[in-house]
Amino acid sequence: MAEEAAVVSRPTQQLSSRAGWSDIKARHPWLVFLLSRVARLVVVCALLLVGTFLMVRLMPGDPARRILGLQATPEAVELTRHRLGLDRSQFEQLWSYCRNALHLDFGESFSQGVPVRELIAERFPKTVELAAAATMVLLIVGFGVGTLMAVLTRDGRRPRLDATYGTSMGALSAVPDFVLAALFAVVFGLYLKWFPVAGDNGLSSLTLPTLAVAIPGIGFLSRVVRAEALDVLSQNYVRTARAKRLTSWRIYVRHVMPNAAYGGVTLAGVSFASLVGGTVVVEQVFNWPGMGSALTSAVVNRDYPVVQAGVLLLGATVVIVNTLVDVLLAIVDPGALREN
Amino acid sequence: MRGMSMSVKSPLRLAAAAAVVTLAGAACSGESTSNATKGGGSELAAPGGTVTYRMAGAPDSLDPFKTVTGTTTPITYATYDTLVQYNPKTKAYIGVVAKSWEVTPSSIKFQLRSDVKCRDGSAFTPTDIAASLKAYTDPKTGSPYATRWLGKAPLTFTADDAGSTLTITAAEPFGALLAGLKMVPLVCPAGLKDRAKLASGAEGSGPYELADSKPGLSYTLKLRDDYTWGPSGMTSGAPGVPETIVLKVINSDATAANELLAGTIDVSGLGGVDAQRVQSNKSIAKTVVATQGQWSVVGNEAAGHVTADPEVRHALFQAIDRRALLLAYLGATASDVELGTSVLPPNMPGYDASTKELVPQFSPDAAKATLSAAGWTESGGHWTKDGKVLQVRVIGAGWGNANEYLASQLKNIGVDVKLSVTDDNGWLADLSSGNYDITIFPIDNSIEAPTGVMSFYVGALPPAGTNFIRNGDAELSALADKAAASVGAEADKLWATVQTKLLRNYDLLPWQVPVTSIYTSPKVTLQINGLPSTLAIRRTKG
Repeated sequence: MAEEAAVVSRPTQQLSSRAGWSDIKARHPWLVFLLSRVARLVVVCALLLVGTFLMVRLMPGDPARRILGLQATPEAVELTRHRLGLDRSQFEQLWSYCRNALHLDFGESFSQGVPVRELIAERFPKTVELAAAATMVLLIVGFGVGTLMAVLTRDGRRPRLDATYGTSMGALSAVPDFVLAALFAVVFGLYLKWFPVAGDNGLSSLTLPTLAVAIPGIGFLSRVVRAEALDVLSQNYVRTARAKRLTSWRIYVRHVMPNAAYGGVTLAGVSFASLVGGTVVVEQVFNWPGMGSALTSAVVNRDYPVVQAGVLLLGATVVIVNTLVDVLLAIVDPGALREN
Repeated sequence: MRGMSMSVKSPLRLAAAAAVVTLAGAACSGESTSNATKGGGSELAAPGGTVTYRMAGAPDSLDPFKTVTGTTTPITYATYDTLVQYNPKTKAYIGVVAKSWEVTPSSIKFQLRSDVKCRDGSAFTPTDIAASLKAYTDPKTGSPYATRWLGKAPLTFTADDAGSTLTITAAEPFGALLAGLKMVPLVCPAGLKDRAKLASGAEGSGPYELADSKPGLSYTLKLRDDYTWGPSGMTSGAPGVPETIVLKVINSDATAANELLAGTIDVSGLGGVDAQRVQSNKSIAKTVVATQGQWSVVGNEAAGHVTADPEVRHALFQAIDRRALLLAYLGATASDVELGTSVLPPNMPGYDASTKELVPQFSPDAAKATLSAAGWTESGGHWTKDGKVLQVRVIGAGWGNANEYLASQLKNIGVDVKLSVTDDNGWLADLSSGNYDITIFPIDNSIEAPTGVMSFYVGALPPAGTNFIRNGDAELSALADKAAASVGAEADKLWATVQTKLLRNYDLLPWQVPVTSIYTSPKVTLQINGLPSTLAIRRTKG
């Protein structure tokens, strides 16, 4: 009888629990929203933490032998393995890595002998600088060109321009950034001497890597923006605005742009997040002192601490930026918050 | 740290870069042959000015007791002196802190200079130098190269400050001690007292001080104004000696080539297509520096591998066209490189030119005849013996198209080839575990003595040793040990015998003697003459 009662009461409890959760969501939408995002952030970071640890150890080769070389004596290899902590069990290494990572201590670089935290503090801001500059160029040019082309080609106007635009933007987005980087370095750096071929000497050094990173994205973004803008331009409220003989400026600024802003914020966040982790090869070509070039060397050198910390940082950055975008969108459109 | 003067990534390692990690970076032990093909006789400028030098990787540590990678050497040998250096061109040692020396199999007595001063201005006495060497041998120091450079037997140091002499006596004979000492950076008392200083600075008696460092990015060296004891006339007041050397870390050869052509760096090692691109610019000079390495092709001699049979190795070596293989690896720059003629490279003590005749010559027909004579039968495009197909696993790590070409040459005589090309780490893992039959074996430029080269072909097997070809000839190992304990003509004679036996047993096919090609801007020339590369830089009036 008691069992029967329990069985009967279970759906009721679930119902009541669901009702309670809905109630909490209804009363504290922001709290629930933020908690869910923080939980997601923690889970992703935890997965990254363990995932990168396992990933680097799956790569073939012994870092100690890699550092010392073929001719190193077995004693030297053992000594180095001990110094690097590689003679401990995998579980001990994982435990120590996770425990220290919680204190933001990522150990010492195998190949450079400096604390990884210092290396990141020096390198990561340079990657953010490059990614931020590229995102700005990407958004300004991408939105500008996309919106302009929507206006010029709406309702089937200027078909030749439309075809030319589509082809050129398609080609642009198909060119890999490292090809553009090499091309820019040779043409604008070496032959025309308009910009430095490599290094970090202020704004002039930032120009070529920024363009190399941003341009392939512009081809894609401007086409997306154009499609979105064409959609907005065909909406009834725009037609109404035109029927009221509002000025073009007012139509675009008051009616078209705000409706495009939602997508804009999303794209800005996604672009920045992807560019933070996507500048690796371009940094290498321009010897830009960011995380990308440090990560490339670290992978080649089997520098476990740098790879682990670098991947974790880049991954966490993507998740954090996406979370911020979600928050921003929730502010812009509270309706989305309720849906969440 | 390997001993190397030439900082830069060996250009001939191309993208494989690392391939030989190991061997990588090291240099041409101090002094090397220099051949400026362009811009050679430029008039030197007055001492002073700034030169920017490309480092192909970030130093692992600035502490000479800890550093293990060749990338640190441009800084180390500019800021620390050694007792001696070696000139591969003349095959002679030259004094740095030492003026002269007497060598026996178990001791070396050095007559030292009395005018050597540390960075802080204090005199660097024989007692100080002995203390520095002792620190390397102290197990607490944990220097990974102590036993390789200074031997495994305990050393006794007897310093006489009044007579400016230092005698080093080994408990057991160690013929490579002088060769090892050329690699040992001497640390001044200030650095020994406070080891922490060595992590971010330099406490040596070398011509330069480490004025600034941005870890992983750049390092700035400033010339001392009182350096008068350098080898080959290297002094603070020598014509063309730069006052400042900026060492800039540039990982990519393509980027370094761009910077050299743009004039933002002055010195860089380069290889492959980037070297060719730079060579087309008439204002860029190229200096080819001989090294003490040698690349060979080897077979795994462990039981169970087809290559355990010397006649199979003989046939496989006969199938390899070494010059064509060099072209597959280096392309147009292959002409800078000589083919190997023995086990040791020509510029290393103990090299025996007479063994040249023992190197198998390229002949696919002869290779097939060798296999037939060894009992293998060719049918249906395969070689078989006792029902077993002749199949080899070839491993490699980049090296241009060399691995692919090597595999194709073996296939040409009907050998089944399984080719596995990974990065240097994967290759090293396969080599260490014995998961291969045939591989190119790249000993670059970091070996200071015959003992280092021979350790790959005789002696203890992995993991206890570095006899990666798994040669189990105990008699030959004993002979190599005897040679390692000898010096002078006696050592040369014994090494010659070892080389002859290795070649007669087809333990390796000598392939090529690598060189380091260094490219310099018009405002710089290199005067190697036995100097580490950073000390060989001279500014020109051009």
